[in-house]
Amino acid sequence: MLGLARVVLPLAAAAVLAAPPGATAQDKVKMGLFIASSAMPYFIANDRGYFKAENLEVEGIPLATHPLIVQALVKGDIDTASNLLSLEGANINVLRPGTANYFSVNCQNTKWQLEAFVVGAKNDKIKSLKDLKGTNTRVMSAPGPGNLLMARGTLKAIGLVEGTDFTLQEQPMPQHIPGMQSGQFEVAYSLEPVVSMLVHRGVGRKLEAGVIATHILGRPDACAVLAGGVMSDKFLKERPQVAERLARAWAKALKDGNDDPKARDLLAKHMNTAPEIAETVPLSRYFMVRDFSPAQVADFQKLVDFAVDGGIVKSKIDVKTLLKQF
Amino acid sequence: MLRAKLGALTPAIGAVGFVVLWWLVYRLGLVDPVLLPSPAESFRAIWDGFAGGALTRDFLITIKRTLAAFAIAVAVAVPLGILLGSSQRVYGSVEFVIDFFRSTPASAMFPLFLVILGVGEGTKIAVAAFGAALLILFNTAYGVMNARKTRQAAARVMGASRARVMVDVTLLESLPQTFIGMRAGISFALVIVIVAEMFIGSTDGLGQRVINAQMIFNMPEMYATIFAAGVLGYGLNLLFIVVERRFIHWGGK
Repeated sequence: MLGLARVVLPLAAAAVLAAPPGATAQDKVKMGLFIASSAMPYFIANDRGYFKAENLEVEGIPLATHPLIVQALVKGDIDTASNLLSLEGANINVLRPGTANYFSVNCQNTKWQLEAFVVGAKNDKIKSLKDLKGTNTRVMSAPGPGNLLMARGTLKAIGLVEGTDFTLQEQPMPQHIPGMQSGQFEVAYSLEPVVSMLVHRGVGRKLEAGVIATHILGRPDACAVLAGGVMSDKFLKERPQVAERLARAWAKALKDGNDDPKARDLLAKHMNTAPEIAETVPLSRYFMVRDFSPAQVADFQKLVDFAVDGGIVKSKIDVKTLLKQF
Repeated sequence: MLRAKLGALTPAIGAVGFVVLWWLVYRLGLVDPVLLPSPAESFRAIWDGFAGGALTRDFLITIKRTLAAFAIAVAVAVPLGILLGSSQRVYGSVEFVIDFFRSTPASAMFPLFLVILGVGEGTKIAVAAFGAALLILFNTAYGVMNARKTRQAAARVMGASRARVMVDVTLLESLPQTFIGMRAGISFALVIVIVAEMFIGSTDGLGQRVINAQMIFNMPEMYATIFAAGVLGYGLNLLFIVVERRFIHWGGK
């Protein structure tokens, strides 16, 4: 018996030592996805093996709304999310500090255009938003209190008065093209890729893009952070090394998303973007929080303060408490 | 005497049990309090909402839309159901269409209704009326078809004309089933109106209030609104039971 052990044990030890590193079990991570172009880093990292290279098995879980992502983070059903709205993150952190920790942020402005006002293609009277003065134009907005606040805030910043110069009604995104095509709405505050589809199909033309940066933050090149990648406090506390490896893979994906046009192929494949606009549709700019400048942090703070004043975020919060640097 | 008094309290047992269970889940911390507020917080939100007028306004708008949808559904479906039910052959020819649309979620028809009617009040009411009408139509037609043959025959033997048999016997015989359809129809109309208010561009109503409260994580207000919607549904159902007992007393006899 002892003789057999003398033979088997060294063999077993040798087998363990000789096993390749890939043979060890990958760390599993659950990532909530809101299917939009801002989820691109997940698909890049998954497609190009960046997660695997860090020995991670990241399961993407599509969730239909941002509140569901927050709920899953709070309950611990997911460890992280590819793209959570920043105002949702601010709101939950006011109520439950530490819930959403942004480790990457998406900037949008006049260069990285994600939101825009569009006017019906046949309308030749409205050439800029200022031309709405005195017209009481029916404007549709992307849905949700956040989008309504941004649309209303922009129009008010330009000096327009609701009820006299415009009326605003939220509409689901799939309704923007038929709503404008049928003439029910003359102007839309819409989001990509719908903005590009409106223009591509000849239904509308862009009046002004990057309006949040210009009119709410006060500079066309300001960084309007409307979404970003988050990790839950539980994930950061219980598996800090896995979180660090995830951030490393994520940083590679962000770089590709920003610099590699081929990454756009994934838009049509996974993110409900029509193939005909996938090559040209504007995208936000991705930043790891470590690359975020103090001026950009100040822009983020201004945006959240604006949302607090507008009643979308419950109370004032220092955005630095939302950011997690890797 | 005491037994009768206790009997009157029976319907409250379930409601009290539900609130106690909710309170226990909250108290034991089984769900994060950010996601599930205490019953007290939610009831305070209901009180504040009604006292402040905001919840009352949305509540009344949802009632208005539901009643409008229901009225349209009744006006269309009851006569049509009687017409179709009076001839099994005619009903057989449209049965597929009725059952097909009855099996299709009315909320999935939003895009079609939006294309036809555009955005605004009309679509929300029309899509709810459509769903409710199918339920009422189906039940009315079956009520007419399943009217007791012996009573119809007795009326004919006594010399009643075909039209008289239809009005005085068949229609009265079909009313209990029609009312079942109407009761289901009004509940369905309420559900569809609330879903429409949530998802097809509304600036008011209980559905819009639920979705907005959820977006900004105002959970007490969200549950207060859900509770208000539940009370509304229960109230409409109760109203129909009272009307049914009062006016359709021959049902099942």
